[in-house]
Amino acid sequence: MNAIELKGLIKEYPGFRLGSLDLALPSGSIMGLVGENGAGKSTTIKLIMNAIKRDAGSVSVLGVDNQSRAFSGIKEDIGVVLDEAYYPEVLNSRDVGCVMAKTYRHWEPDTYENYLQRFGLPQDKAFRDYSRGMKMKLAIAVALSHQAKLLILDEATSGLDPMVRDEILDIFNEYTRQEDRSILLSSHIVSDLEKICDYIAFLHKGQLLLCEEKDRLLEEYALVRLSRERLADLPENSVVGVESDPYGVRALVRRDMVPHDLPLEHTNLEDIILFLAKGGTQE
Amino acid sequence: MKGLLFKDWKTLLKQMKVMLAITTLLACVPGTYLSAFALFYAAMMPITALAYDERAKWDELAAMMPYSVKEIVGSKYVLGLLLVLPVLALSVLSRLIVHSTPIAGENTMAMLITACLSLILMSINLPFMFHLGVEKGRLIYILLTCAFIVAGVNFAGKLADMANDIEVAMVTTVPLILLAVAAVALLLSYFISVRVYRARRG
Repeated sequence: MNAIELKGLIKEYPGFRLGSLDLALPSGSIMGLVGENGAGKSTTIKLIMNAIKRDAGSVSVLGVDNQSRAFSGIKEDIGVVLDEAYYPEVLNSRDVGCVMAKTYRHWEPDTYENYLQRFGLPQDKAFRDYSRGMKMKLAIAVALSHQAKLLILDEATSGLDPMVRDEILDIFNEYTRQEDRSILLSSHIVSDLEKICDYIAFLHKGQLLLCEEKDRLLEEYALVRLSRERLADLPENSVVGVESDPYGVRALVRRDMVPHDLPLEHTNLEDIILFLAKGGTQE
Repeated sequence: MKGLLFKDWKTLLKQMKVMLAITTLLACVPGTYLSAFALFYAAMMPITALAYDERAKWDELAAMMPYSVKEIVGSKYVLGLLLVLPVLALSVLSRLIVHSTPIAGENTMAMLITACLSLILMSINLPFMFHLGVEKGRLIYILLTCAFIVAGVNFAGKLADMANDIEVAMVTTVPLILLAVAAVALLLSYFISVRVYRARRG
């Protein structure tokens, strides 16, 4: 079963069109949703949660259409962390726990307490006095404390220092050890996604440029340094993106389409994303 | 909805402890005007709670939680009722116990009328606040409240002129009519707010 399935999803605003998106997050896996600011990541997440109306297409979450009556119950099984933790500033973590206990049927106060301790979050300090890292940790503690089967995280690690990010990524990894648990994680920080994701979806200007298994992507693409003349000899469609410098060109190519004698360099997710976003030849 | 109500109550309690204590005190003090102030103040609290939600961008988070639009909107109306009704009960009881005012007396009924008026005012204001937001809707809120008070004073004056036996009207027909009007206004307002809130979400 797919934890999330989008088919022909479209949302239009004046001056911006998202989609049509076709995407599936298999149950038990982690998908990274990457894209520049304004690419449509947050809009996609809002559409998945039915927080805004779609213009076309369908969205199924944990096997349920998100516009059906049953989806309200399914929301119990979804933990969401937005780019900021939007709790009233006068509440403290204990109050937030009480609100959530009255919100989620499967709320686990002990799990919540454990996360508060693990993250070093004080129980009596008002939310307004928290640092950004503490606020995000509180939101993550909430999302992990009601037996959610799906975590949806919108830029949950951005603005955090590398130590905290690493700690949180470990927790996400720990969370998906149970087979039926999945994560959709949107982020600018491609290195974070490379660390933990099984699948990568790349949104660019509202369009889904790719949605593939991370390992397959890294196997499929490679970097080459060559002269402009040699580049012109490469088969059509084998070159995904080109970057020029005074010494020649650097190109992202499809491994299986280029001659075997061409010296290929290993690439990483960040390069793939950048080359795909830039497309054609860059000076 | 319990979670939403708890969140609003905790937020109001922490932000406005002193004002809530003064409201409780005013509800117990003899004199219709002070109790009327307490009742109108209690009916304003849902708008204050909305303002705190707006500041925290709580709506964005609530949309991700297992709450329907009806629950999110309805919680503000329930909050209003949960604050106005105890203030009304407190003012009536204090009169009954401390001043031995009869339950069907003019003073007690004046409290009931004021409570109904405060709920009607809340019903008029809330859809605008859901539509515009409290920050943008502040001016409309002030204008509507002033218009409501002016209309109320004029209406009361005309009523006094028309009825020779105003004391009788005060304890019989007027409270009943206003109770019905308040109930209808609350229901209508709630349905409008739900539509407005849905449209605003986009």
